[in-house]
Amino acid sequence: MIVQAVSRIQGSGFRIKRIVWGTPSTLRCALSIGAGAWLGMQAVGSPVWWCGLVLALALRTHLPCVALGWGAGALLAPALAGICEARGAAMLQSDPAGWRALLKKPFVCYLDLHRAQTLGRCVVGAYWALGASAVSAVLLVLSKKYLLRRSS
Amino acid sequence: MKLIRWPALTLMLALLLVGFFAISQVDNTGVRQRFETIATRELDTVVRLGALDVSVFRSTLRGQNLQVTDPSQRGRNIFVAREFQCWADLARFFERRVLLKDVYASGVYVRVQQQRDGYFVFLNETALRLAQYEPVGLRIKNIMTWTSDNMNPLRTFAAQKEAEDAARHDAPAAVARDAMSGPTQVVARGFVLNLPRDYPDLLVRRLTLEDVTIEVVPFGALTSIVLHGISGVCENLSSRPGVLPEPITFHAQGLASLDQPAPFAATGLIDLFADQKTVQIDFALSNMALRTLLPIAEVYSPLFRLMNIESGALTARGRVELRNNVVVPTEVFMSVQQLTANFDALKDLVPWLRALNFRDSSLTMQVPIDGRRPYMHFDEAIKKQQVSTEIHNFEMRINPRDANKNFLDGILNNALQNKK
Repeated sequence: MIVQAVSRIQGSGFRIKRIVWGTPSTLRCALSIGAGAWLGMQAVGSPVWWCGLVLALALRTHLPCVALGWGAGALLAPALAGICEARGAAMLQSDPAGWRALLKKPFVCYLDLHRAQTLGRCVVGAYWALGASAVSAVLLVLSKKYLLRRSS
Repeated sequence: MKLIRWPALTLMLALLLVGFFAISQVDNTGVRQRFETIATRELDTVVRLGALDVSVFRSTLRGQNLQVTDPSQRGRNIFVAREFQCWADLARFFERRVLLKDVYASGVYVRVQQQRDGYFVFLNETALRLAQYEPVGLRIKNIMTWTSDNMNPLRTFAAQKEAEDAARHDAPAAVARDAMSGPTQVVARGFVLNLPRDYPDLLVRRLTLEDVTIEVVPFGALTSIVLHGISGVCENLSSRPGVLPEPITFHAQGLASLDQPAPFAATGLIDLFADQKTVQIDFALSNMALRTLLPIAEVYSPLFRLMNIESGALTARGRVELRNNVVVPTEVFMSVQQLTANFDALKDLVPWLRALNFRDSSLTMQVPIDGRRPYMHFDEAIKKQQVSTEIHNFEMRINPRDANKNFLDGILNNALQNKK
């Protein structure tokens, strides 16, 4: 009786886990964490953030992984604010004419990329997202191997 | 996760569509009230808008009863537009600018004030003194920028407050810290690349006006000149004419003064591209009562203050031209009919003159115009013998004691020559 109840609970737990987490591939998880990390770096409500969010939703990312990466990115964003600012300013000042030509294009003009902080967050966020994806991919592969070895 | 993904995407799409199409449902409350608030704050005077109808689908904006109150005298309007309608170019919204292909306005009333130096301004001196913070031009530019940013449906998702507050000039590289949205949250504003646009934020390709009334208040005068029944077309009006290669062109016709029918017409071209001012205005007016024009002319020359004109109708036509900030010498043809005037006050300037009166006389002259003050040179017209007059009733009294010895020599010599 008790064994049946425990197995039923375990079964429902697995079902809930399956509904919430699903069965994502390693690559999808890693890319989703990267996307979340990039989103976490952006200022919430900014045009770039909205674009990133729509893309993350439309491109079938793994949303729990996105949320995970987002949390990590949001935690790291205040610490990287100075680097983002400096990086963005350096980029904008390196070729102002080129940036002006690019930033007045349709749609792009709404992204507020002429602000060093926004541009810096995009670029540094991209580096951070690549790093987070790579690290998470390695960790996921290692953890899967460890679980496989343990189950065998 | 499909439970989150697709409802979220659908909600976003719905919000976007609401931003595009439901604006017409809130235009008469939300948009109208915001416009009134911003315009009232920026102009430092009460701005009212009777009704507003915005249709994104048709790209039209229709408004009624726009009123701007005189800041120095509440209750009196300096600008009224009974009805206006704008047709926008929707594609230009994606470039963060507003292009109005066509604007139609009717029942417009504008009150302009002549200043001490002769310039005509929208607000009078008292109102300008009340506006302590910024020049009125800058305030109007702020309203235009706000309108081009906020009347844009694409701003639905681009509502970043920082971007609105960011300065337009290149900021120093050092990070400036500015407290925003709450006392504890500190956001770094930082470097902002100045984006000098090579096109104006707000451009009106064609403005059609009907039934316009312009009340011109001469400096220090109690009565004003009313130009009414004006209709016309103006093209390429923009918030930044210095970056628009196409010149502003206009054509207007109407009636001057309410007492007698005095039709006038003006057509012109104003090119302010690349900070070069080129202006070319051709004008013609007829049957204009001199008595009504005199208060305006008094500001430009003290001589006009000494004239006491009882009646007389002015007909004039000519061209005023300014090429690259330099006045091009031109001539204005002027004709005054049925002039009845009293120049007794001239005796303050000319001691020997006791009285000078004209009655039912006519005067025709071609007056040169150039860049030297007072711009219209009546003295040169006389020197060049470009003046002809027909005097029917002339009275001149002199004071011989104050006159020079040889005062009558010229007249006598001429009389002797005629006898010979």
